[in-house]
Amino acid sequence: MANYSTNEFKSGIKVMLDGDPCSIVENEMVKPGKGQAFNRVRLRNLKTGRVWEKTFRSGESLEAADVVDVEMQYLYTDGEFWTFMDPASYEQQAADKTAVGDALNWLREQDTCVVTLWNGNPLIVTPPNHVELAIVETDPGLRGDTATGGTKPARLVTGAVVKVPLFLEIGDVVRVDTRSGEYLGRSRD
Amino acid sequence: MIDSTAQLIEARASLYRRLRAYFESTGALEVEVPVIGRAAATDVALQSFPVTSPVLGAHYLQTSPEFFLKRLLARMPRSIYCITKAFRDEEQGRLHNPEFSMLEWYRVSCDLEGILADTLALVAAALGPVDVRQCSYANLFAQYLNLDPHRVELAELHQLVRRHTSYDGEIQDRDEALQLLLNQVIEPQFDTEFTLIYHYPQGQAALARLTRDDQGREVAERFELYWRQMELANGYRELIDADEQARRFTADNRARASRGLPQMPADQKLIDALAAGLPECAGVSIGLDRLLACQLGRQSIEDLLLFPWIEL
Repeated sequence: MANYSTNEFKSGIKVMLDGDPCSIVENEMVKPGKGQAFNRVRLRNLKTGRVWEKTFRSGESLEAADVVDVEMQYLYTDGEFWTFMDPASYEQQAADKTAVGDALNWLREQDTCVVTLWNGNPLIVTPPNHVELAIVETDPGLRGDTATGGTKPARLVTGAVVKVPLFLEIGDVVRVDTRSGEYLGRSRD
Repeated sequence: MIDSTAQLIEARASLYRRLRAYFESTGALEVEVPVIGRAAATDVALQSFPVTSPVLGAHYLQTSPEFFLKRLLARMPRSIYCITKAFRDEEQGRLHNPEFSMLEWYRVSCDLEGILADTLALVAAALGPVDVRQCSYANLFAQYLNLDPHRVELAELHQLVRRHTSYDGEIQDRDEALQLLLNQVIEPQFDTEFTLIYHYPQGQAALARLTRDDQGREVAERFELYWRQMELANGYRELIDADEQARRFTADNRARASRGLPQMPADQKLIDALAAGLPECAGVSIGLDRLLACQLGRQSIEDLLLFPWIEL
């Protein structure tokens, strides 16, 4: 792979650091009027999700990480691996529990996710920002109560539990933001 | 906050009016000097843009007006100032633009104490009353890191850099380690709006004279003024010894060679001017884009330039 020099470090650039693939979050040159230039860089370790700061001498370079995002369709799980398919090539990839992470809460068979591949292997599975899922378990609805603003927990078809308004019933389909786990509204379909 | 073009132009124009009024009232004369020179800064930390012409030969955009202003001082021993553009290759970011505006001035018959007071008076004239802490480089390191920056060993500095900063690479010398500690440990703890640091280590003297402090340590008669964590001004009691100046130019080029940087043509005409006799003087340079950021309470100069580098 190519190398990136500190002056090419931009948000989103993927590099290798201490053997782990990282994504650059922020890069600032620090240069006193009379002194060596350094770059203070914030990076996200794509394996652990942890963000940390590291300082480099300006002009230093890091090896580019072979990291690509691919849209894939979720097929099935055997409990240990989650299998995804590239709809263009029909190529399949099995992601382990670490790679799937919180996406587990929102995965429904046939849905499309972004699978981040590192050296061709699944590293992170990112569900769509918004999903529409049916409620499978919740307390009986208080019909007509659309004004009080109260909420109750509801279990969705994927297993995720979200807070929904009191009037919703089992079988209703809700829109949820997968990043915050927040209820956004009731699906019109 | 997004400023209109007219607001930016007016803010800068009014800042420059106040600066010129200050110099008018304190007896300094405005001068103009070239931004292209045959010689260039030799400092390892400054990279000059070459200007090459098949007809006129190799020249450089100046990283500051210093050499020309000093040659002028040797011809005319009067306090002078200059508002100009300066150019530094490889410097671009939140606080850097490769082409930037600089104010540089010299006071004749002025020592370090005099130029400190002058600088604070200028900042007050430009921005209004300022809350400033003055502290020697040694006291700053004693307070925040409990060490004597003029005597500490490189090995100990190396450990402190590992422990307290996010840099874990090679350290080339003591001054580089001190710079990392100042930037990552001390600057974030500045607790006044302005901080003025004086008596830098001898290795960071640049073009300042050396003296001994009250504890007999060799220190540079150099100061820096910060606004929060932003370097605003750098000043010296100027080196006027031609031989010492020539030695520093040669040492710079040796350091450049060891770091794989190009050799720069040292300014022989400056050395000649020093040999002919430069008046005792002190000088300061201020980044005007940063002073404007300070006036407007901004943490970046990028939004204050009408044509920032990335939009040329």
